[in-house]
Amino acid sequence: MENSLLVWLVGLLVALVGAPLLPGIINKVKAFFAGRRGPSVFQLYYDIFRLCHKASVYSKTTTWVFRLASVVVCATTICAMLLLPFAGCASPLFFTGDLILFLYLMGTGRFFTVLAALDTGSSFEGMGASRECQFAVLAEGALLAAFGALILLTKHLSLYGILNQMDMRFWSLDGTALLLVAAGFFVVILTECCRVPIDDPDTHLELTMIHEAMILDNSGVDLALIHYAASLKMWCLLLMEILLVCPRIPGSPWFALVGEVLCVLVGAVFVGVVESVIARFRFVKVPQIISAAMGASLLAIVLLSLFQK
Amino acid sequence: MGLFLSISVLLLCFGGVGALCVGRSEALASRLGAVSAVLACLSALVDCSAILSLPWFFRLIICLVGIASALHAPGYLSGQGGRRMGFFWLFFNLTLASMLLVTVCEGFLPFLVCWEVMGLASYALVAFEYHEEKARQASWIYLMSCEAGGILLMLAYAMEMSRMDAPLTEFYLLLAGFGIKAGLPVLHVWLPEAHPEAPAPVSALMSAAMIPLGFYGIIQFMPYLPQVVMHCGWLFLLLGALGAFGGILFALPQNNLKRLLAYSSVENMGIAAMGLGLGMLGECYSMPVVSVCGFCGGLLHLLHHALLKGTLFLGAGSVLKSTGTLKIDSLGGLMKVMPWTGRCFVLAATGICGLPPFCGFAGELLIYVAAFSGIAQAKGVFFGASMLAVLCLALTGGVACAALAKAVGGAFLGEPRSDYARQALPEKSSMVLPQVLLTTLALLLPLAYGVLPCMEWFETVDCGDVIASAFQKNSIFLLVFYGVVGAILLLRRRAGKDDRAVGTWDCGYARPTSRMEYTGSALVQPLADQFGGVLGLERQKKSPQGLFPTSASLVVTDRDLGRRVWWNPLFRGFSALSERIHRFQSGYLHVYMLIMVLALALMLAWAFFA
Amino acid sequence: MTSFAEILLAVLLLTDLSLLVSSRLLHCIRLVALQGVVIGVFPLTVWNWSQGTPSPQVFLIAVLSLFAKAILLPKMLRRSMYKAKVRRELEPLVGYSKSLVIFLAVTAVAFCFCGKYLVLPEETPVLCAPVAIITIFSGLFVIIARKKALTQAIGFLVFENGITAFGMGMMLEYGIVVELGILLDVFVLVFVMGISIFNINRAFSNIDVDEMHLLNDDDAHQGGEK
Repeated sequence: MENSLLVWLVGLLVALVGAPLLPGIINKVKAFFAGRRGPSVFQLYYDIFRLCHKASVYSKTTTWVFRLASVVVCATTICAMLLLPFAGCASPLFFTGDLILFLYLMGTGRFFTVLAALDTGSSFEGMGASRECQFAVLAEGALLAAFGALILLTKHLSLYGILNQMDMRFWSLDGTALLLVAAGFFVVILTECCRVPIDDPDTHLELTMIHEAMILDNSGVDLALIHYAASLKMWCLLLMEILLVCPRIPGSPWFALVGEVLCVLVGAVFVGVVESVIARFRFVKVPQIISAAMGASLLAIVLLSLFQK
Repeated sequence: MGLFLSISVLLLCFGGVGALCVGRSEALASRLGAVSAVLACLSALVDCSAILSLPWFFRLIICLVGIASALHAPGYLSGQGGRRMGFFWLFFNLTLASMLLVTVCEGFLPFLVCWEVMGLASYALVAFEYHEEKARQASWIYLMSCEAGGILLMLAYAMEMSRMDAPLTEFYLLLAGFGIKAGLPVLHVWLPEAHPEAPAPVSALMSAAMIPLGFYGIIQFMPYLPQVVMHCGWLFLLLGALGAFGGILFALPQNNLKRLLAYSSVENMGIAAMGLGLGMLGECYSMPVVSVCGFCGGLLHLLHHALLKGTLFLGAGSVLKSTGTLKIDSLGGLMKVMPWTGRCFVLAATGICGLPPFCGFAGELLIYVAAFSGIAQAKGVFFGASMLAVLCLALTGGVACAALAKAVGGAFLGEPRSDYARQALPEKSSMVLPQVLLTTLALLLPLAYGVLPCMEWFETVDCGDVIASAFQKNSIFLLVFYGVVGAILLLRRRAGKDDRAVGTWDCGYARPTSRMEYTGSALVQPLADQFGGVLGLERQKKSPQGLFPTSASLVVTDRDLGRRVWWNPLFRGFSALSERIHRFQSGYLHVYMLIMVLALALMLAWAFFA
Repeated sequence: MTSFAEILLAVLLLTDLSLLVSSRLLHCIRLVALQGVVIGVFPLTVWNWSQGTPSPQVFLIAVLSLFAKAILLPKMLRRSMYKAKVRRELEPLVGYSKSLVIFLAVTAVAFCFCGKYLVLPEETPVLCAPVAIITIFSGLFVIIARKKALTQAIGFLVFENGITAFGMGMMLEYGIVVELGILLDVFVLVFVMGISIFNINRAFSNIDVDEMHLLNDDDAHQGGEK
């Protein structure tokens, strides 16, 4: 009992510390594909460190909403992470229905990001906020449909329950459905983390960005918090995908933890590969993609309900 | 009826009449009315004769919102003159008293009487700004809806009395009658009309406390037979899903702040209806977790909606009072002029989307748990229904965030977009107080859920421990959340010292003006366009022309789905039919006589031969 | 005496016929007055005198009917006719020959109907029920098929005569109360008619009830279309 809590705490700590690695890895992979050397894997650590030592610049238009938003975003992401199981050890806070809390915490963060964007009065940020609102609706639906499929499969109503039960048994019985769910979930990850086919954080044209457009006015610590929160969010979602896709190996939880972290890093590499080989979609296409992800999860549900006894 | 309740009703009556009598002094009238209303609500609050019962729960909602509205009203109505103030308080107190009495009546007939008084008194309040054409129109629609509901209820009562053994028909009459008040979809048409025109405290009272009474009526008076409960469950679930998603979808394109909030009320009533429907279906299919979570979630959602929507409507009232307009696209930047109203509005808006640190989340959580349990356990149609509920809740939540972001961002954030907002008057502390009160409650409630004695009650219910543990964990979690927020705030304070204030960067553009801002309408335009067909969006565009374009405009209007597909065709058909019947009203006395004689002859023949 | 009652009923029938085909207002009023005389005498003729003198009620109703229907009401009608300077022509909506045909058809139906279905007390004159029904019909027909407001009043009077004849013929026990009530109604009606005819005349410069359709609320806003 004590041991599992310790493993969970260590898992959380690793996630909190290691999260900024993910964008670094993705960028490195992209650079590799482009034939460049690319920035260091630790670039985000440097950036966060640098930003934390800078003073913030605030627009005169903004109010407390703008200042609070970055804090709320970071806090909600950290708290959402507190609900996740690490290496098969349940969070001490898990309860029936905590997946809704997880989802809605992300929602709170997003709501405040949108408000902060509107607070600046800049049309570019408004544009980003507008797109975020549009895609979030569908992404949330897709995520919940995926959760629905997992609940139907595992008969559990908590994150620990639905994510930690995935072993070979499920894959051998309902492999098709699970594959559909995993695919849908991956699209959600790309959407939520603003990755390439949906959103391009690296573009230099604000008109084509979503998330980055919303935080144009943030600077200093605020920007550091937001960047950190974004990487944490990616860790969370990738971890969930990993728990879904990789069957659990019996053995020491410490061993499982190391495996899990490695898998998350490999997941980041995979995201990087996807980003390198796919171009960003036109905005009109994005809702279709996310709807397709939702459709995949719904299809999985239909499959499960038909073929499950 | 307990002693405190009697005192409260008496206080309300005396306060109302007294306010009318001291018509010469505005301050005196408003003070008398407000004090009596607040005292009455407090007195009804301490009445714990039936604690944790359904009527008590609805009384709680009424009292909380009643206090806030009564505190807000004097500031909102100041400058109207004593006479009108007296009338306002008379009807306000009458409405409040009849609402309290509605929750007290046990028989259906006294209930109906109170119900009708409630409708008529609130009609007078909606028509308070009767010198404006729109208010007259809105109040007329409201009155018609009220009366239509009343007639249906009377029919149901007549069926009950005449011992016609048709519980289903009776139930449908009740559902339609109460559904009109509760803003169930298709019957909701009066909400977006009446709420924007009524004075803000009245909209707050009606939206937060009076609409839920529709649910109270159905639950209290519907015949509890298995077949009826099954029908009710399904109808609630389907209508709720329609109302929740449709309601929030129609909130999106609204430019009038209060109209947007009214549609959001339709949404929230839909969510509550979904919860109650799941509860009933869980009962029918004997799934206790679904049942308990559904019922508790639905009812709690009503309470949470009351606190949050009360704040929002009062905030909208303060905005109207200080700027003179409710058009979201003409406001902006009000956070600096009215900081406290803005704070409450932002927080309440976050809460009404069901987002975590607020109480709105707890209700939705339970409804989600109910629906997820349905997915996990049920087979066949009920499984499909649970899935529908989950999807609907998810999409609704997303769209709600967009709609409320539009309201908050458009009204309070950014730069002022018109002279209305630029010349806004500062807020009054008397109007801020009730909003702060409700918002604080909304913030503290989810924390309190972990320790409230009602948790023990949950433990006694079959499968109630699910709720109890969820609430306890949730409250602990929220404490952790506040801890994390506090820690980050502290860290940031230590990090950044010499912050600078400049203009918005705007990608290097040197002279951004408020006209370049993204408006609320622009914010939701992509999302609204996606559902343009449902919303019935119509565009009137005037493009800029020539080398030196002068003016251009784009007007987007939406048409309410319920009115478009159901009421308008119905009324058109009705009027076409009346037009035909109207031919008989030729004005020729001879023809009338002929008709009468023929009718007489036919009736005689019928009586003779039958 | 029964045969005398039958004769009176035949006279009633003939006045009905005459009423439907007459084209002069004054003539109609005279016919109504004649009907009033017939109705006034009628109860005395129906009474079986061999059983002794009738009760004072019967005398009362006879006298009252005679006074009201034969003298007072026709007089009022005539006065309002002169006062309003009504044209003497009737202006029928249904032509005289058509009226006649309809009258005959109804007469046939009424006789058939009464012969077949109506079971009446022994002492009732045979003609009583059919003639009463025909009179009622005639009254209604005059109301419906003639234009002038005065003819409406005449129609009501005739209608009332039909009802009275029916009641008298049956010698209904409570007939007297009903009879008095109806009489009062008709009196008030003619009185009101008299006043309103005068006013209609002033407003429309004639007393065609036809013109009253202008008061129809429909025309208030659709006036231009018509």
